[in-house]
Amino acid sequence: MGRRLISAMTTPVLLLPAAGVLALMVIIPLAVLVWFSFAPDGPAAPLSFDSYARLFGTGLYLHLALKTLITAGAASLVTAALAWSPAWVLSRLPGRARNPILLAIIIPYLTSYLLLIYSIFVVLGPGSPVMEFLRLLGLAKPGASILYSQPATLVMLVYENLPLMIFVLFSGMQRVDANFLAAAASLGASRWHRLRHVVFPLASPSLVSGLIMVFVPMGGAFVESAILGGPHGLLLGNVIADQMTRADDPSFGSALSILLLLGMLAITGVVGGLRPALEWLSAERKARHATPA
Amino acid sequence: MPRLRDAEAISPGMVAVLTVSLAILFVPLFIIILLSFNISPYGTLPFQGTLKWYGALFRNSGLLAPTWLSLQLSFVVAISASVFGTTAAVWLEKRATRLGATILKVALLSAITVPWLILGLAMLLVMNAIGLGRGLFSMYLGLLATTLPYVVFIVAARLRALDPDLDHAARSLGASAFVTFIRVSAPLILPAILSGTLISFMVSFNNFLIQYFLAPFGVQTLPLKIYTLIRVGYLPDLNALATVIVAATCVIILLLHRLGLRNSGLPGGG
Repeated sequence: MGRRLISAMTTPVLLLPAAGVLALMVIIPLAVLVWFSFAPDGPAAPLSFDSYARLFGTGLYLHLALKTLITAGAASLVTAALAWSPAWVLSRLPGRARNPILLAIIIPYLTSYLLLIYSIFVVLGPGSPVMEFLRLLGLAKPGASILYSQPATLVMLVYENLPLMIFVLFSGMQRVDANFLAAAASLGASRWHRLRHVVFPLASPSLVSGLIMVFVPMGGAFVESAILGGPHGLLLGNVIADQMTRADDPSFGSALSILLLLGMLAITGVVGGLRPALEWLSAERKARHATPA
Repeated sequence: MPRLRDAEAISPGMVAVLTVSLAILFVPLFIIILLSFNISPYGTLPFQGTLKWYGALFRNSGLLAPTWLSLQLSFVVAISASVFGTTAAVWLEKRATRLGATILKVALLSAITVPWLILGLAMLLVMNAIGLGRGLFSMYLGLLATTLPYVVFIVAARLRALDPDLDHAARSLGASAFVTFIRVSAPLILPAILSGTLISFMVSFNNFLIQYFLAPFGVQTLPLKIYTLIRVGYLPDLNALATVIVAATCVIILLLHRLGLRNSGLPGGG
């Protein structure tokens, strides 16, 4: 009986610390966020839609939310485009060559993104080796830099997420067996055809995962735009942070956060559902055109 | 009909593409490392070698105190995450009901998928409401919550992959569940626990957003310090610090790699 009792007692002991921390710091805060967004007059006052009314009242915040989501979306796509080729080459390399490179790619991934921002800051600044190199090539005026502009924010977002995207794409592309490509080529498929009908369908689930995995943190970005974005580069994240800390309007900040979360949820839902929807559509079309035996 | 290429071949074009992509990834860091040895305090060429910024870093830089705080904080968070995360993983694999497991997994996933900007702000709201407010303990809790998922998922996956026969053999020889865990399962999952701990350490060290919202005023961790410094502009001893951190990151990555390798050589393991 003693053993049974001990066994029954260990279960909560095992779970409780982690569960407690998660409940306090994740579950409750998210619930509080939703609650506060409906409580513009403080926690004790009756609930109201005032914060949301204010949000939708001017077109300003919706415009900013749209700009943020578009920036994040564009940055995600650019990241995927830049990551595709190296991920493909890595998936074709033998382990001996490939593994050290993969390990090396983890380095920028684990490096604090403040340091990454700082390095891009130096690289894009006037007089830096990269800018000087571009000047020598005649591509940039002396003393020019693209710092403090929206493109700079985009460059930063892409740079930060490139390692992750390469990993995700790489793991998907590993599934593309070389024999499939050889078989397709032997049946007369051109390079483009092989890419479109063999590689892309097999790699697209990981492409979708990768896009979603980088899109969400990009949507919440505020440090990049605060440092590199310049006066016109503000994103929704900056406004949210401001409302919560300096403007001391947690209800409005919460409403903005919920808006951002819902926007991201909608987009990731659409992107995630795109492929199953397309497959279902093409299956329908095939079924309709099938001639009875 | 197109030429049937050898499907295994790597063309020079592919090598070029990979090289260019890797260059994009590593050039900015290389430039910082290079500049940390450059004598100019403005980050401009021409290049002249020196170690003086490393000396400045260690002697009188305001960077050392925040670095030390970050190291201590991340260390405590990592140890906590490894203990609580491992016990939670054991619960998940051995004692959880389906509902309980789902709830835990949703909570863990939320901690890493909800943008930390929003999560950090929400945490601050709750901390203010319960009277803790900004503070070292709040930061500790916030960082712990966002690193637990890594430990739990890594250790739980490893537990799931263990050969159940080993446990059964121990039990059939009379060992209690507790003893079985200590003598049989724990040594086998140790690499996973260590990997999770290392990753927790790195993630909490670098987690700027949570620190930004929960750090007490006047207290700065290293990412916070870097944030205020970047506003100032170029700082040569920051380059030296960055180089040191990148070197430390390389060491940690090699450690993680070794842990992964040893993992696959064990009987009953992956």
